[in-house]
Amino acid sequence: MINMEGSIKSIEKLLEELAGNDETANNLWHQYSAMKNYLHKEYHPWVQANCPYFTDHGQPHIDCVIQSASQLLSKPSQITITSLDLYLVLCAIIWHDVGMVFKRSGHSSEVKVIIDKIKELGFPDISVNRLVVELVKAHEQADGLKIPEREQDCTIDAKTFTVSPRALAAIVRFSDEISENRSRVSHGLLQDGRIPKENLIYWEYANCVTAARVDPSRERVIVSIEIEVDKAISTHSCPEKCRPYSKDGKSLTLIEYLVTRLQKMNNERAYCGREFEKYASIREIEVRLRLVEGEQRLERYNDTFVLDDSGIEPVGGDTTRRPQIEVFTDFFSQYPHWAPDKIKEVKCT
Amino acid sequence: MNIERNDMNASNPFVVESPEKLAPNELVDLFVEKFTKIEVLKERKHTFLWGSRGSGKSMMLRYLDPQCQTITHGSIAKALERERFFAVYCPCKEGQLNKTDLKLLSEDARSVITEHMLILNVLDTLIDSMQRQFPQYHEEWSSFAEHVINLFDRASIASSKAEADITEDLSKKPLGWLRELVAIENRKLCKFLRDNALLSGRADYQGVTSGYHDFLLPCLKSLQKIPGLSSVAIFVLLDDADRLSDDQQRVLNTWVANRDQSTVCFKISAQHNEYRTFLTRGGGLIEQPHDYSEIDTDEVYTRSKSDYFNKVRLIAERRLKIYNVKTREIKEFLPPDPTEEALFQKIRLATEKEWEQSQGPGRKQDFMTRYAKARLFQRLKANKQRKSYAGFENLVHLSSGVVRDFLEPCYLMFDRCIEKGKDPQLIASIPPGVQNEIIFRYSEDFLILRFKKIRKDLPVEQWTVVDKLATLIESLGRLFYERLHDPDAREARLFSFTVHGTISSEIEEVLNLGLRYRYFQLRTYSTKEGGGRLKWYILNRLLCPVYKLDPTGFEGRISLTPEFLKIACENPGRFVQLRLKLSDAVPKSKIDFYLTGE
Amino acid sequence: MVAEASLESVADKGGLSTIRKGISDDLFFVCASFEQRTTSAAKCLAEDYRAKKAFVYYNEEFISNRETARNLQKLCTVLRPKCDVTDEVAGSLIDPKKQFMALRKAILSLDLDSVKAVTVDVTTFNREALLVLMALLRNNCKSARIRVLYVSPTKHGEWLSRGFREVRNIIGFPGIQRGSRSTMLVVLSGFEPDRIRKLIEEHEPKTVLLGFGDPPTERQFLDRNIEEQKTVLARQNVERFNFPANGIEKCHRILTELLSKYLFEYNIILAPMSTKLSTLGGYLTVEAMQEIQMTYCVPSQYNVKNYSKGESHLFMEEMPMRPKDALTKSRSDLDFPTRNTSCRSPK
Repeated sequence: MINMEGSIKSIEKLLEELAGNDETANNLWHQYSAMKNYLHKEYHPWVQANCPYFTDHGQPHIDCVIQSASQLLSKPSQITITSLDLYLVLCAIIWHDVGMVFKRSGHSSEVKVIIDKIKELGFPDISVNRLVVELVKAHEQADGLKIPEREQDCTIDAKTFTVSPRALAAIVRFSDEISENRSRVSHGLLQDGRIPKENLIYWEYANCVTAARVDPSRERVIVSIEIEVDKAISTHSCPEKCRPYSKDGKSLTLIEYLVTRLQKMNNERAYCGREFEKYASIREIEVRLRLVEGEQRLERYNDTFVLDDSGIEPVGGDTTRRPQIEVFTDFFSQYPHWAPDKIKEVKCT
Repeated sequence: MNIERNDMNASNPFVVESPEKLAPNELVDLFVEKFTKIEVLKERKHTFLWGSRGSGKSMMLRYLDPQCQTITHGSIAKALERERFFAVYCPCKEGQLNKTDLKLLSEDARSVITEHMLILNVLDTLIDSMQRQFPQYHEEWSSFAEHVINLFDRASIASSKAEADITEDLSKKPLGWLRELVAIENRKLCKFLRDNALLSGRADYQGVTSGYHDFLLPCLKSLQKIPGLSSVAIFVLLDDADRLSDDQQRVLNTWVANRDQSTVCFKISAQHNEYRTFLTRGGGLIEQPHDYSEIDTDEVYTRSKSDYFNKVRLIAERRLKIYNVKTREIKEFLPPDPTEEALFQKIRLATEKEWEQSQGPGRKQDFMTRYAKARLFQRLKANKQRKSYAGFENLVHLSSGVVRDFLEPCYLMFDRCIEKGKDPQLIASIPPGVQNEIIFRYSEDFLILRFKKIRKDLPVEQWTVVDKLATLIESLGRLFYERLHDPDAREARLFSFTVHGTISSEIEEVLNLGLRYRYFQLRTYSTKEGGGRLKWYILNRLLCPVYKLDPTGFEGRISLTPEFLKIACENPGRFVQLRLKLSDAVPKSKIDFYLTGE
Repeated sequence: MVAEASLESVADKGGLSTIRKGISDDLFFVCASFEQRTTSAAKCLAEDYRAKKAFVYYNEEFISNRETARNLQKLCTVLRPKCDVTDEVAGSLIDPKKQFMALRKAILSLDLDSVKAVTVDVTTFNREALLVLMALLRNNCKSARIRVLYVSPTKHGEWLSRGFREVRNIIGFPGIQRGSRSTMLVVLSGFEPDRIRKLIEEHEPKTVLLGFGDPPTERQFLDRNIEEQKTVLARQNVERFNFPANGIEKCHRILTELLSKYLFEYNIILAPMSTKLSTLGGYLTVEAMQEIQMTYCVPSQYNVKNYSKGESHLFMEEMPMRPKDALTKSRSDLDFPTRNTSCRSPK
């Protein structure tokens, strides 16, 4: 899947190419394209209308997730990727946030039309729709990867495909996880200070992540983070899941929140990685963390470290359960200068 | 418990009602917990409950329903505290889940729709039950409803949510709203099945889909947040699961293969041999005891000390009490024939004396068991007297482990007394004469009328199998009669047979038909030679009156070769003749011997 | 409105013409079976009757029966000169999917939008096939007028069917059931108490509504109906009601009025086992109230030698249009010799 110039070919492009050679792939490609175009035209405007202060769930984000998935699938280690595999992953990606529009009430009748149309365009068969829904749900729930089957047969156009829904779900899930970056936020709104308090921590986090790239040849993901001094020590109300890491149980600095997100990302890597091994092997996350003040990068705050599987994991345990690899405490003990108090001192000097 | 209903002046205490029609308080009144293995059913395990129609499976399941448990324990809170389960009763009725329209779907689509349909069914019943038992929790139900909505695919559920908002207010009646949502989804599913069949062009499925891991399990888990339900397991009771299609049974098996018993346990009832597969959707197999436990409500042994005997006694005496019958002890209400009893005592004493004189063979008790009853039959035959099957003990034996086959004849006996002019309020016992009249007719109907009914149940091309079965039973009945009434026979009380050798598919069909309609019960036993187990077919004791056999116990089993079995299916006369000749020629040690003991 | 006349008087008046004067019917549908009256209506067609297409349906299990084969041939012979195309449709009594797909294929082979006038001789269809056919026609040829012909016999045999193979819901009529509701079985009864008992045994309803066809198509049928169903009526949870067995719309009205009371209380299952006209009345009710499931008990054996005798009256009725697609039509369009509806053929 690496093209002539050495860059990785998008899975959309790959499906399109397969469509040229095979009738089933052709049908799948057209269904996917129709669905995607329709969403782009009819759905994305509603997302912004209904969820103005959510990080982006529109076309840029979808493209980012597709790119991450393409990187993950660029060098499948054990298995040939079929057109149905590509179709399922792509549909799950474009479908996975469609429900977001219902976070707010109103306009639901219009959206009903959208959903019905999408189904009509994209899912000619209930079982295929069900597979996509399972992939989507696997990405939403904490231990969601137990939802899809490990292996399942699916018949389309009288052809039987054997798919690995759980592995594909893991691809989608992890791709979504590593696609949270600054392209999802509006800098203008952020600078104007118009983001509601309850959403701000997510915006600031996304804004810190400059890039996340899959490096399949070295079995790693590289995450580059640049965080402003002021922002690093800014205090926000603590999301529910991060309460254990908050000193007072109510608030958290951005740097602390960032580390919890890296911890989560690593756990997702371990969780999803064990399932999508037949497609890709990702053994670590290399984090390139920098503190900046204005245009300047602070020399002392330029660290690269690796997150991997170290930590206690019970042998023979339930492999569908999410791992609990601790990073937070280790990080601040190994890199004490990143503690909020220490960064505050930097600010003062 | 409601006892001594004084308004039951014209009611027959042995009326057999389908559990479905009984109100919870009636069911609780009639149900006897003891000797029913209900404790096994209450365990936190997936359980299969096997048994013929009328053996009490549905009663057991319905007894676990919260409405009944509330009556039993005094309140739902006490019931949950003591029992630690909350049951949801989901009968698998004909046409409700096994819709013919599903045959038109592709295998994949059918699998998806079928699982979703099962889940909707469970959910609807669950919500109904919750509404009834916990109407007071508003905030908790609101959270639960929100959680359930979020378990569905957000995009696909959107239109149903909007529709539910029109008829119900989620904030005011969360469970009512949720029920409406389930009803809407159910409608969409059924509409899809209809449109898929009737319309040209593609039918679009407008609803959501759901599965075990993504919906059912998290939904039931979230119930544990309701006060009183924390650490309470949900028991999903699927009654008559043999009605489900193969696909649906595979879905159930897939659910059973999951070990989430702290949250959900499936209690599945079905008839023997009618539950067709133990495969899961992925092609795996569920096995006992790893994946599930079993209860068999059909009982082979009906000895006085056995659980079944005591169970029937308690059930019968409970009914006598509820219906305010003068006699409260069932043995008194159904007395045996006194003349025959006296004769039997005489024979027993004589037999005992005989053993004491020769001090053998074998133990005294075994000797008496073997010969006393047989001699009674022989004496009655010599005196040209008909054997009486009156008496509670006899009737329990005749019912062959199915409670309904005890209650129904008693019902008819009671009715007969009324027909003869007796005042129902004053009936203190059923005379042996009436008992015999009814039980002989019941036994005849089981043999003759029942075969007519079986023919109606089966297509024409299978009627030869029915005829062969009838002939086989006639052959066995006659053979066992000859043995029992032969004073020289050492093993007189034969009542069962085994088959040595490979039988043809034709004969197999006959035997399976016999099992299906309960003319035989099937057990296995290990051979003396060791290595493997053989099939052992035991005749239904209800046939005893018609063939003048002893229902109270049996010993020995005859061994039949496939050739003999074939003859038995074709020509009773020839079979009996050959078999009796053979028995004389064959050394005694070769005849399989098994004592039941009393 | 149902029109009724003796076959002789229909013949006297020149026979049955097309639905629309001077315009061919688009479709003529009939079932070939072992009964004598299977060809009665077809033989009554006017000399100038025309249809674009004729389908002669039969259940393959009966084709080896000499009478069925003969009647099939007779029907084709009668229809070929009157219809541009005459085709046979082989279905199955035992295999519901085969039965369904055969009828579906036949209907969907038509140019559905151009189908405006359909005549269906329902006389000897088995009820399951008839209901499936009607559902397919009304769902796919939405603006078509459907005229129903039915010929009553002078006498029914001592027994009509025996035994049962299976109880199943009819494809296309799954109903909408809820797990928390009890079942109500509604039976439009005929002469077969065994099949009703089997339905009760399989469905295990909480309540049974047992219907008797009054008025019947022939007076003596009602007496026999009541006599045959005595044992079923004696059961505790069985209630009785009457329905008109001699008219589609009449029956539909009565059933709708009766069942709408219970629609949200029970899972309702309807078993039409009376005349074909009342069966179609049941169809209309279920078309409007899709919550109701239609069930069918497949018999093991038919009395092929002596199912019925003779041909008494011809009933004709047009199915009401579906509410959305109602088109105006005039009474005179029903060109049917009904000079004297009380005229009955001599016994």
